[in-house]
Parts: sequence; structure tokens; C-alpha cells
Amino acid sequence: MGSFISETSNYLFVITILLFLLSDVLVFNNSFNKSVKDIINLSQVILGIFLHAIGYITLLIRSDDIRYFFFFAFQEIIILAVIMIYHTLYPKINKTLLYNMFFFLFVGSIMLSRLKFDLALKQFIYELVILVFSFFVPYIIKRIPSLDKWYFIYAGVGISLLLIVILAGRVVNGSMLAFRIGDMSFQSAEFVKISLVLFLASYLANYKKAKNYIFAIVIALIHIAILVVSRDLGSAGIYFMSMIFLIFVSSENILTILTGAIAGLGSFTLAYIMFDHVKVRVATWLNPWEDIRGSGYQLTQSLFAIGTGGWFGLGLLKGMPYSIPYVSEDFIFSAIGEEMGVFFSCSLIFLYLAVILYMFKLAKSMKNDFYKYTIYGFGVSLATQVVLTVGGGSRFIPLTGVTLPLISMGGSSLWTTILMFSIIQGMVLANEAEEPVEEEEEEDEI
Amino acid sequence: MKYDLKDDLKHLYRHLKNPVNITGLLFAAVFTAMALNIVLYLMNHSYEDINNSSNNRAVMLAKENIRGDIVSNDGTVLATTRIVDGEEVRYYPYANLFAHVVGYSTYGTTGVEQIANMRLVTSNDTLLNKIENDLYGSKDKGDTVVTTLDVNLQEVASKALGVYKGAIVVTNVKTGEILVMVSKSDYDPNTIDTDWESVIADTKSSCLVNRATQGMYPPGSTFKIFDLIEYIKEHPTDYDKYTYTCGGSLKYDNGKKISCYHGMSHGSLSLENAFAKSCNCAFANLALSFDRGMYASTLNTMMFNEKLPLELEYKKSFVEIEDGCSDSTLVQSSIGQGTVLMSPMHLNMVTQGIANDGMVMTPMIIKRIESSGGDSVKIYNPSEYRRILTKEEADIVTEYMRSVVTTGTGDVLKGSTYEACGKTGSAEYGTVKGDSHALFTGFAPMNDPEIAVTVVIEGAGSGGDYAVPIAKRIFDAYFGESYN
Ligand SMILES: [Zn+2]
Repeated sequence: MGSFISETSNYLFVITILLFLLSDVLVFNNSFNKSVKDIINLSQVILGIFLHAIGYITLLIRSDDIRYFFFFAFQEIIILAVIMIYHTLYPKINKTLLYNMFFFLFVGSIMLSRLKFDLALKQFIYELVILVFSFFVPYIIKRIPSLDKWYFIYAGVGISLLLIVILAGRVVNGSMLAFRIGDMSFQSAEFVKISLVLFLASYLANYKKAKNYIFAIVIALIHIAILVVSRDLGSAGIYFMSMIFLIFVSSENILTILTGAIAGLGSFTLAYIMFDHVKVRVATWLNPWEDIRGSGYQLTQSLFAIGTGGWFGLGLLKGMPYSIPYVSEDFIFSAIGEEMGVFFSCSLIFLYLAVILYMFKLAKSMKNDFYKYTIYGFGVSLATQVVLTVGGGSRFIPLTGVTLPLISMGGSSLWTTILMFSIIQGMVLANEAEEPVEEEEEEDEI
Repeated sequence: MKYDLKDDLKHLYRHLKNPVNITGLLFAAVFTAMALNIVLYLMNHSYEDINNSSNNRAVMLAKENIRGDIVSNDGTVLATTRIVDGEEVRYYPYANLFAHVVGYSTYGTTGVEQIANMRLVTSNDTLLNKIENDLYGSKDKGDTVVTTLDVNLQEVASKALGVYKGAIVVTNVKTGEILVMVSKSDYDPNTIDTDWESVIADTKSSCLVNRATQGMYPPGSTFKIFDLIEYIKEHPTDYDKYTYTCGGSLKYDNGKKISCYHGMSHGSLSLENAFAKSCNCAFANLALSFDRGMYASTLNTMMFNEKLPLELEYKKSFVEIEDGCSDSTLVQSSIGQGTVLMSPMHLNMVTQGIANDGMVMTPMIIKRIESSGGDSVKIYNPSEYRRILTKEEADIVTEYMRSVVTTGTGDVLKGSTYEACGKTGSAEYGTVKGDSHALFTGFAPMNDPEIAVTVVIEGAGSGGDYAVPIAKRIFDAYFGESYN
């Protein structure tokens, strides 16, 4: 039985994620009544737990380390409890969004446990802390109706957080910003993804005239400039995309995107001319094999991992993910490809896409522009993050070194993403509580 | 209800006008492209990339699986792994015969063992077998690499070369499949790890070098093929009007002199005769008339001074001809002497291209990959590499190469039923006058060529006397089956 499960685990992973994708497509479609939807949602929980179980059984059998069993059981109990608390506190919570979030967390916990047990344990504790905190988020959103007037606070908090790190922080990995409080290192750039979107969403929801865009752009550019100076090009890219797309959704003018694309390419060219580290990144992207032991090391090891893993992967614990530097943070997608296979990792790409499209769909159903822009902005921010990390590790675009949402190791990244999900939950709940305005007929095909 | 296209379009327009939907479509496109990029990478480039000595996963997989077999084009085992006293031992049943081309994996990797390393250590065994292996604690068997090599022809070629040092390459003209690759001196790959010290101590024989791809030989008169091609290109309509009277030697560049082989004087010659009899003076005289810049670019097209599409380790061929090069360089090169150097494999590729109406095929050594159970994992298809001649030019060169056999230095092949074409060469080397490598490169049959054969014998003497008879034994063996 054990051999059977561990040898077939990679096929089971693929089947599970494909079924989960299918369930998403079904549930996004509004044509089912509530009881059918509930059944589909229930099956999503089961699929998530199934994937989680297969992963830990495989790890247990291949490593003979009994801790995997206890850790799995511990996680299951806590997460089921969290789900129950959510349902008790907020009976109308959006189950689809919640279960999708847990599915990603399960994939992450399998991969991190495989990389290093202690790492996964630490990450789960971070997860627990933020999940408990997120119980209150929907309540706060509902209770404080003036959140959409706080734009100066969002901007102030964001810029101060970034500045604190410049003044008091230290450089990690050459390009990451963090400051320490006790044992935890806070990466401001992560949390500011939220505050920046909140600033833009609230400001643009209140001021819709074209001349107001200038102020919004200036504030956003201050954020971006600080990141460029501190060499965090990945986060700068994410902020830039949030800015362009939020102005686009508010102005409804397609020219915004074109202008943004030109400005983006222009500033990238400028960065290329000005900074040597950008030149190296681009050269490595164009030909990673040139300096296989030097600047091309990370990317070639990542390509070795994906290529050696092949369609169905080498199997958990059977690859060499540690040959890739920063594998648990920036390159976890390649480690997933190596051991769980490209069928699985590509399905994961589409699962991210599905969730992001679902966020867009939720954004469209908001009656209030602040909610609409915020949810939409989080979707754009997450989508950009996925493109940067997956595309960077697979040589689709130059490497920027960002994390894979909900899967990579890192407290700040995890907290930011879970916060985004719970803010969306809160807004969806608050939206339903509001007086129903005329229902706009909207459908979305996935 | 009546279907109304206009309504539908209106609906679609309204849908597309929504910025949120536009954003969704944009990201959907980018995500799909990103996934597609990974899928295409895996399908097209990943193998060449991961079969890299910097990829430590090969070492890891080699420990995990039993190294797979390498077999010939008819499935005869050329390399396998045997379990001796509980230990895995790599075994080469033909010992020295395929030493260079199949290579070894016991002391580093070379040959097919190297280029297919990742394949051999990866197991695509069936799931059921893998579960069974897991249960019994045994290892999975790596994939089988099916090569294009022909055991019978390889044996004939190796025997024909005998005790001489040198190289023989035989390829399929239509597909570029390598049927034979012999290199001597050789060694026994079964014992290379224990013999290593003595093998590298013996610097005289250089037996580790695969002379077929890494051997750099002066091509001698086989280089006249390139002179002929250049002359045809420069004189497309009246190339056959060229005549020359050979007096046994030619003076050029104030007092320098070249002679025909063994001081022979060929008398009055047409271009075809000069080629068939391999008159040095006639071709040196021809070369002096060339546009040197153009000749240099022709030679470039013929893959001189550039990379070959070969996965096996090889050396780039070298020629010094360029725009404004000296008369001396030009004359010496035109008869394949001086600084010009070629590998036997390169000469064979050009020959194959001529025989294939001017199209060089990418040389193939691996035909397909199978799981140890025989299921197909990957099939390699022949691919065109480069057109070096138009069909018309190839036809003319073929005709001239045929007259080498019918009226010239390749007359050993004259009586054969398969109508061989070719060019001989005797390339002087070293300082002692008269010491020469014997060369022949050719193909058969003339009208619908099947195989291209290239023979280089070190220090044997003239190509016509020594290399052509060896080529004949290979042609005989190949056509003996299909012609009788
Ligand atoms: Zn002569």
C-alpha cells in the first residue's frame, strides 16, 4: 500500500489539482443553486485534504520520519478548526475563495516540509498567527465605513514603512528590504503592496477627475522610487502594475495601459543603462549557460530542476532542490516542477489564474467603488507576483526574485497574501450587507 | 427565439469594454504563454540543457537507477550493466570495436555514454514495475538508447583498417544516420578505469582520441572537391572548357614550386581528367584564378572554421584562405596541404551533402529512446542541416567523382556493380618527403546514393592504393546484401 501510494503520488497530485480546477470552473459559474454549490465546495475541502494527505504519506514512507505524521495531523486539526470558526463567525463567508486559499497553503506545506521540516513548522506558526488575526478583518471592514476616506493614512503608512527599512533595515540577498523585531524579519515591501492598493483604490474611488490622477501617480511613484533605489525591482514592478491597472479601471481608458507599457519599458531601459545588476540579470536571462557557475548559476540550476523533473516529476524527496539557491523563497516553483512534475506545476499556474479571475469577478459585483478597486488591485498585484516568480524561474522573463504567493517560505509574504484574501472576504461580506442596488447582469467565462 | 448576431456582438462589445474583463483577458494570455513556454521548453530544449556536467542530478539518478543499455540499429547490445557479486559493472560486449563512438562511463563519460547520459540514468519503466522494484528494494532500470550504428558494417570496416591508425565514417546519405565510426588506435572500455594510467602514459598512440571527429588531418587531394565546386560556382556555364597541360610541376610566386604526386607528368587535361587523375598542377593553376574572398565564403558554407552540428566531441576544421591571402597559402591549401586541416567526419558530411543533391543532413547517432521494457520514449527524426550546393552543382560534382572511379585514381572500384563515386587523396605530413596519409571519400550508387564512406589511413601511402580498397570492402559488404 505504501509503495503504491508513494510511487503513484505524482499522478494523484495531478489528478487532484485538475479536479480542483474543474470544481473551481463549476463553482465560478453562477448557474448552480446553493445546494449544488455547497456540494462542490465540500468536495474542494476534501480534495485539499486528500492532496495534503498524499503528500505527507509519501514523505513519511520515503523518509521514515514519524514527525511528518504528527505534523500532518496537527495541521489538519487546526485548519479544520479555523474553517469551522470562519463559518461560525461569518456564515456567509465566500467558501470558494477560502478553500482555494487553503489549497495553495497545502501545496506550500508539502513542499516546505519536503525541503526542511523545521522550515515548514515555522511557516505554519506564521500561518496560524495571521489566520487568527484575519478572523477580525471582515468585522473591522464592516464596522468602519469610513475606510475609503483614509487615503492619506494608507499613503503615509506605506511610505513610512518603506523609509523605516531604508533607515533602520539591513540588506538581505543584495536586494531585499527587511527590518527585525525580535526574531521576525519584516519585509516592508510586502505589506506595502496592501497599503498602496488601498491608497489608490480609496483615492480613485473618491476623486474621479483626470487631474486627480496626477496626485495618485506621484504618490505611487514615490513608493516605486524608494524600491528602485533599494534594488527591489520585483516589488517595484508589482507596485507599478497595481498603479497602472487601478488608473485604468477607474478611467476606463485603454490608453492608460498603452501609456503604462511604454513608461514601463522606458524605465526598464533606463534602469538597464543605469544599474549594472540589471544588466547582469538581462544578460543571464538571454544566455544563462554563458556563466553557468557564476551569474547564471541560479537560473541554470532552476532549468535543470524543471527539465530533469519532466512531465511527472522525480517524486518527493527524490530530486535535488537544494542545488538552487533560495529554493524555498524565490525558486519554489522550480522545486515543485522537479519533484511533482511539470503537469502539476503548470496546473498550478492555471489555478492561480482561476483565483485571480475569480477575484476580478467578485470585484465587478461590488456596489461600492472602493471595494471594487481594492479587490481588483489585489488581483493585479497577485497576478504580477506569480508572473514574476514563475516567469523568472522558467526563463520567460528576467529574474527578479519574488515569492510565490501562499507557497513560498517567508512570513511577510504569507501574511500579506492571507491579509489580502481576508480583506476581500470582508468586502464581499460588507457588500452583501449593503442595500441591494439594481443588480447588474454580469457573467464571466473562465 | 430568433438568433440575432447583432445582439450578440453588442453583448460581446459591452463585455469587452469593461476594464476588469480586459485585465482578465490580458492576464489569462500571459499566464497561458508562461505555461506554454515551460511545456515547449520540456518538449524541445530541456534534454540538451540538462545533460550538462554541471547538473548534479545525473550523479544522483545514476545512483538511484541501473544505467540503461546502448544498442545498435538492430537491437544488438553494445553496452549494458551487469550485476557481478552484487555490484553494478558496465559491460561492453564488443570491447574495442565501438570504443570511441559508444564511449565509456566508468571513468568520466565519453561518446554516446556522454551525450545520452541523462537518458541512460532516467527510468521510464512502467508504473507496475516501479512499484514492484520498490517493494523488493531493487533499482529501476534506466532507458535504452537505440543508436544508428550497424554492427556488421562496423566489424567489416574495423577489420579492413587492420593494424593501421586512422578513421572510417559511414553515413546514410538520405538521413545522416551514422552507420560506422571506427577510430584506431583504440582501447578496451571494459577495463579503461583500471588501465587509465597506462593508457594516458602512452602518448604515441593517442588511443583515447576519437580520430573520426577529433582527428585533424590534411585532406590532401580530397580538397580538390572544394576547388572544383568553387570553379563551377565562378564559371557556371563554361567550367568544362578549362584545359591544362601538366609538365609535372608548377612554378608560382617567384620560384616556389609544387609537383604532382611522385613527380608524375599528366600531359594535356580537361577539367574532368585533371580531377580524375588528381593533377596538383592543374588545380593549383585553377585556384590561382579564384576570387579569394568568394572562395573563403564558399569554404565557410562547407563548414570550415565553424561549428559542426555534432553532439559528439569534435574539432573544428581549419582553412587559412581569405580575401587577400598569399598565393602560397592558396596553392598549398588547394591541394589540401599546408595549414588546412579537416576531420574525417566533416569530410564525410560534405560527401553526404553532394550525394544528397546538395543537402547536408544533421548527423544522427541516436535513433530513439526506449524504456527498458521496449516502450518508445522519444524518436529522433532526420533533419536537414544546410544546403551546400544546388542540385545542378551536386550533379556535376557527382559526375566528376564518378570519373575518378572509371578513369582515375579510384579505379579499384571500377568493376563493382554499385557504381561508386569518390575522390582519393594522399596527404603528405611531417618532414619526411613521401610519408603520406591515404584518404578516400565517396558514395554509391551514383544514381540513387545510399551510403557515404570516408576512409583516412595514417602513413599508409597513396589513397588510391590503400584507402580505396578499404572503402571497397565496406561498399561490398553493404551492397552484397541488398544487391544479391
Ligand atoms: Zn599533373
